Amino acid sequence: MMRDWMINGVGTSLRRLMLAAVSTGLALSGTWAAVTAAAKSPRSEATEAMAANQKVAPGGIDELKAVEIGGIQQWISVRGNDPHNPILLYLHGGPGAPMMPESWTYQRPWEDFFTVVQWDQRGSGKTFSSAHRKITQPFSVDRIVADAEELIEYLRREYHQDRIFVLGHSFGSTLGVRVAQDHPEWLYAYIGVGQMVNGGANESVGYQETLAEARRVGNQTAIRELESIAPYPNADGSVPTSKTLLERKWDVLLGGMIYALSGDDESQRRWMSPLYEDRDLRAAELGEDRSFELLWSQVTSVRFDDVNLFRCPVFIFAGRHDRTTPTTLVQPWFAKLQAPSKRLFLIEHAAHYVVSETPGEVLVDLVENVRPLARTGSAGATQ
Amino acid sequence: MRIASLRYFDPHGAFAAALPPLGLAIPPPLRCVVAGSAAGSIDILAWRSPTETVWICDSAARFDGLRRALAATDDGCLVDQTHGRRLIRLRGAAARSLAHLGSGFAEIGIGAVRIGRMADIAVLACRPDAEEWLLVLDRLYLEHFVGCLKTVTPLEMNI
Repeated sequence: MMRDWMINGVGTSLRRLMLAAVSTGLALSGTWAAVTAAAKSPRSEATEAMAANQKVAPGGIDELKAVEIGGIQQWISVRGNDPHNPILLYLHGGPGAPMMPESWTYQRPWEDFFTVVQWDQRGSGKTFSSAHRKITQPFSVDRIVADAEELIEYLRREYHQDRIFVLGHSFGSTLGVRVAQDHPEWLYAYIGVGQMVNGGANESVGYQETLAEARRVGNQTAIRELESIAPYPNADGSVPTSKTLLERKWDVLLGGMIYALSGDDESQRRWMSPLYEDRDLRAAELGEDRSFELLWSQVTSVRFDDVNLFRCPVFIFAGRHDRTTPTTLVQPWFAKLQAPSKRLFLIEHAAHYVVSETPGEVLVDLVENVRPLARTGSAGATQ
Repeated sequence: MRIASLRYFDPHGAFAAALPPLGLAIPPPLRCVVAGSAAGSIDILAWRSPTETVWICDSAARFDGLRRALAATDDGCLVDQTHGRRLIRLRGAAARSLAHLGSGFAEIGIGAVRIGRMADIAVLACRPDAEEWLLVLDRLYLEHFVGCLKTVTPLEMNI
């Protein structure tokens, strides 16, 4: 969710070893392009290999472009093997944590069934990079929701699709719920992953569950540090970012972000992304920091407790061990939902990053249970 | 060792029908099937997505036989990825401990497949039997991956 919160466990040597792997001639074959150009930078050699492995089928869609949304240039990647497939728009989390540069690690099989759109939100990734690393005003959750809706209008118009699927992950799920509330007629379905329900309760329950896990495994350092920020959130309901950073540190280390792993170095995967230029990599880090700093108080003010009526189908993917957006909060909220159709997929042995932790399981559920709505006209979604 | 991607859109079409004569079958979602019976041999199909199965085989003759059989079908294809991918076998006393280095890999049931993270990279893992985990990864990552394993285990590895 936050780069600084994801303490790396094992991956720090990847870049150096990638260098070695390429320079020692470990060329690829099959559908992969051979890595041959000696004069190229190690990163470009690596990203070329990744790009070759990501080629879409003839007639498919492979676009990386900036479109004007909300008065600024915002970057999207649009990829799919069949232009007749329904669009699935991925709303990333953070705030400010783009999924576009990591999408190459799991997304290709999805592109047989969906035209997948990755969007770097205002203040994030390539969009932040093309704004010369400046936050463009206005900058608020409301503005990003408006951006999302403008983007959906663009996608529907540009790709001649009356409805699309919207998948919101973590912070992106706060955007997704609001889009689904505002414009159900645009959606085949809303798909929430690591769903936010109540920002304050999210922090409170997540903290308690992380502390309980620290006690369960007997990690005295974790217990001491977590107890040092009590009460969390503060008694007045505020959520200081300094406390959040410490809570997330132990959330990650104790497997509440990625199941059973104590770290996850996204910077390594971003480094190999064929969709990012060098300048975008640093911008992604800075944008994440700035977005968190500027939007966190708004994120923790999110209240969906009473948002129980949806006029489009709703699907929720929840990792059993998610303590970042605790599944224990999502389940009772989901139980109260009224929607034309709804389903909760509780994924075992997964935490907050369900999509990239278990992309196979998620894809099976999407193909078998979600995508058919695109054939039947959204199973009763109402205008 | 040969590794291929079997790509198709209809798991019941002509492409899939060409497999049984060779003792192969497309596995159900998130499962793997062991085709070979010879002791110590590897002949495994692992689900990758609804449109892709990974085939791992240590018999060149068998591999070429399937490739010829599939050449006549037009609703799928075999992509030889032998030089682009690598198979790592975890077995022995430390296998489960090493599997714990992947997210959820230690909990993979017998005959199941999980695509997930290990050493920060995407890995397809399957467990054909109680004794062994098979990991399929892109060759580009091999040195990084083995390096990570070596940092956490003093055991001799035969990779």
